[in-house]
Amino acid sequence: MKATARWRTAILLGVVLVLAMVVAACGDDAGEATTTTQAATTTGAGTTEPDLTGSGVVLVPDVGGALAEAYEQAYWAPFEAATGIDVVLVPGEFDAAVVLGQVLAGAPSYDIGQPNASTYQLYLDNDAMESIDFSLWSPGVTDGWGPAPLTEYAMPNLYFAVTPAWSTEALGADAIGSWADLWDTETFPGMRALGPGSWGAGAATFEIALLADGVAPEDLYPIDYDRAFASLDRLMPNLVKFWESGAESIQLMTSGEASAVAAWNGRVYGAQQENAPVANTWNQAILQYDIWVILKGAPNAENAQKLLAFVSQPERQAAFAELITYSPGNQAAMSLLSPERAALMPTSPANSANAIVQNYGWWTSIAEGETDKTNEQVAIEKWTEWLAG
Amino acid sequence: MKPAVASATPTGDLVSLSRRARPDRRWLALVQLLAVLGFAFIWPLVNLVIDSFHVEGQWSFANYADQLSSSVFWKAIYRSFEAAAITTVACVLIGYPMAYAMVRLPRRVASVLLLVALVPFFTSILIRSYAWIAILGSNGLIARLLEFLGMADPPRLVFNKFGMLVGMIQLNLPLAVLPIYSVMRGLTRTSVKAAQSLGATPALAFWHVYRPATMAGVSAAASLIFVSTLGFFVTPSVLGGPGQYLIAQAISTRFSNLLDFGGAAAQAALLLVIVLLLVALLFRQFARSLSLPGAESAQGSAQRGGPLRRAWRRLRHRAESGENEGGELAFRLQRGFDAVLRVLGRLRTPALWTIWIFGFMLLVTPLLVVTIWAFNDGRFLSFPPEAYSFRWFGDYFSNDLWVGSTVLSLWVSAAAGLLSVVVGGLAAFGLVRGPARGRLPVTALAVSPMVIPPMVLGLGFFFIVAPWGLVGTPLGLIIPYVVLGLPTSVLVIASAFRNLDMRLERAAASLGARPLLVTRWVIIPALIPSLGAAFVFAFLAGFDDVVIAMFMSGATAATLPIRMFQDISLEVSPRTAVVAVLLFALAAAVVTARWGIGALMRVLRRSSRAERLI
Repeated sequence: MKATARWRTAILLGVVLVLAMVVAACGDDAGEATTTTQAATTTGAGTTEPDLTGSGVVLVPDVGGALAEAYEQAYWAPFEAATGIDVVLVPGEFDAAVVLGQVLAGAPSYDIGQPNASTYQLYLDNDAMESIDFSLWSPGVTDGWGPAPLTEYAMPNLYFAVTPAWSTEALGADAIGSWADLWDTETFPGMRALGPGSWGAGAATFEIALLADGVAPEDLYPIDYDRAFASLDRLMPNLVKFWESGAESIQLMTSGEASAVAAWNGRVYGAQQENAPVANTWNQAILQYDIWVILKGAPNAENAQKLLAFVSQPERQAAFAELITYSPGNQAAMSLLSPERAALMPTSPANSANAIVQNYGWWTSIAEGETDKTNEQVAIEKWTEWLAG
Repeated sequence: MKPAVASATPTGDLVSLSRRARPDRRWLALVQLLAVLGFAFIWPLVNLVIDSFHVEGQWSFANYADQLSSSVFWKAIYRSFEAAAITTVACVLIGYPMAYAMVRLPRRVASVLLLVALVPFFTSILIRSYAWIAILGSNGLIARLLEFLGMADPPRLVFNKFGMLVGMIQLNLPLAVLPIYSVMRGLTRTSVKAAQSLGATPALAFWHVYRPATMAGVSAAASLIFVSTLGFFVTPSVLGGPGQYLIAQAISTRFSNLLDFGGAAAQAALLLVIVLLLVALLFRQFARSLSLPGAESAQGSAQRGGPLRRAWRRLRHRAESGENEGGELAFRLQRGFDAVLRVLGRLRTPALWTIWIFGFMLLVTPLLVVTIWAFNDGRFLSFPPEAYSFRWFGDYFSNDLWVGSTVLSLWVSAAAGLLSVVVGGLAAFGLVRGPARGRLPVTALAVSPMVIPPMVLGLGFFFIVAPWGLVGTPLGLIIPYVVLGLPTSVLVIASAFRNLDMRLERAAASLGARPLLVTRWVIIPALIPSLGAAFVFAFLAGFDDVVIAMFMSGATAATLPIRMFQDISLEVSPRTAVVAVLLFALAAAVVTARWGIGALMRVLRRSSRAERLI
């Protein structure tokens, strides 16, 4: 009797000790994290899954809204559970220039950066990124990326498209079918709004103006500036403004200021989910993508490497695509989606059939007749000249 | 005067003697200002400007030559200056009568109206702009009103120059009302009454006696508004049309879209030089407004007295020798003008009312729209909303991040505001009372942070302090916010100093009060309205900032404007409207509490006096 009691105490003590050690080792979320970590390693056993477990934090930009919720559910929460690394969302990343300034000063506020594809060139020029450590990636995951390439520094994280969109309240359920229709204010009355050309390739305004003027998709590049501005001049009397954010493009339609706009597909879908009377067409959609990079001098570069390795997996990428209508970067994920879901994706065969992939190669190359300016920089300067009148 | 002063040092008669013997060290009051600006403004800026002379590793003027020869740059400069001039004139024309009406009202009523005048600052700049779209837009309040009144094709009111100017005027109107009001508060009306007793109509007395005395406030307001308007870029980009391309947008494009830091710094440096030249040329009045006649020589001041007295003397002088002064024609013109004034004077009450109602609508209507949005049940800012609920209030209070950011923003801006007032107040003393030499350059320097676009200031400051680990700390936000608050602090307090009657201080000193006691019991009480106004502006300069916080917030110190800006540029949800409503309620509560405490104190004092009588 006495012996059993002593044993029981010893076992209890042992359990308490082990628990205490675990708690001490893993910090606050110890209980949850350890159990799932064990689960992850046991399922991973047998294959050559790299070990992504770690400690500390990783700082990622908080993008806000529906996109942030999708990231949280598909990426951050599972990553925290699997690795024990905390994902800390840092607000205030609206400006790739601010982030570049921080990197150049040697103190980025983030580990992960998300320059758009053309700002990426400037990041490259300024040596602002760490190489991605593909040895941490699961075998085979580096295949199947496209149309945007997986590079030494950049992982394409989502695809989206600028589409012709309209207010169904103003124009009915079936209206705008192309960019030329958006220019046609006689058939489709009301005001218009486009993205700003001061973003260069960012809102695809130059391409849109040319497509509206009848330029064939294969003849878009090099951009014919005179023709693009002439096309914009025609629209000008019916143009409310050039919007400054994706949210504003929808706001202009729901407030009745514009009857048709150029808008990102995810924005239109999100507004439809909130019962806003808006619609869009995939015809002549201009396909764009965002990338994730690890910033040079990132305070938690090692954890950031693990984060990219984790989210690159097709299962995670597919989970992301279930939550929001942006295509994941890893196209292997598309086959994991149901046909209905895949049909909503910008890179699905049906939607991309008549879409135009924006030519970032041209945008980021040195402009003809210039020594150091890229086509995008020239375009922005020409845009401001045209705007200033 | 408080009894404490009268019972001060027994060696009072020596005070003035000994002070005259000592060298004038009043310029020392400028040291703090120079130190703060030197560290947190000049150093970062010079750092960037040096960088702007570096092109591909070599010294070069290319950045400057590019800008100076670019028609885009000059057109943007021209448009910006035009917009700034219109905004300045409109704000002064509306703000002056508003301030005048407020001075004539009891203090308690005036303090409520002051709160109204500050309304524009309580809403994030973005949602305020969206509110204007709901008011001026093609389906907006005004369009519906005009339609109701039978106008078939109402004019376009937004996404053009008009809409942009409305937004700018609303935002700047408080900058007109407060400085002018604080100067007017410092004046007594005896001279005006004297003029009236001599037969001048109220309008004449106002124009010839009161108005000249308030010009210090007007020039402070005008320079503040003019300079601050040049830095605007959110308002024109949301409310302006495609053609309203202003200089701040040009710099922003160069910075954010071209990632050309050297070019952006060059543009900012050029803008600063142009503005400083302009201030030196056009605002000579403003430079003069800083010099107190008699501040240098004690005798002159005693003779010439305060500004009201001077104006009164000028009027009397003209009445005596009017005919000979400017010839027959000038005299007749003056008479004609006075006759017009007399007619206008009869209309003064309705005119004041009209302007107040107009100004009030301008200030308050956007907040009304924002308030309605706060109770919107939907996700979008449709106006009027389809359904109402407290959904977004619950959302705000259940979100620790938002509440935490609100608290952080409040205390960081308050600390910065307080420091600005202390440093700026001392500097104002040094500027007005100190040696005349260096007055203009120091003033120009103190105002400069207003002209430099915040992204340039933010980048420059960030480059310097980032290695020290200041990013993401409250201190890293407070320092630049002090710099942002200094221009208004210095200008507002200096204009009040100038109107301070030095004879009061001399009287106190001659009764034996040491300088510190004079400061405590004479100067500070007389300056209270201006110190308050300066604090409010300095507080709001930090509280409304997004751009510097973008650099300095880091992972650990996200301010409220950062959250609001992010929320509205990514989502346009009513959450920001909720914050605006809560902040305004908080401010209203503070004012009401002060009012209530004041009333309570009066009651207590009266009852204790009554007791003593018994």
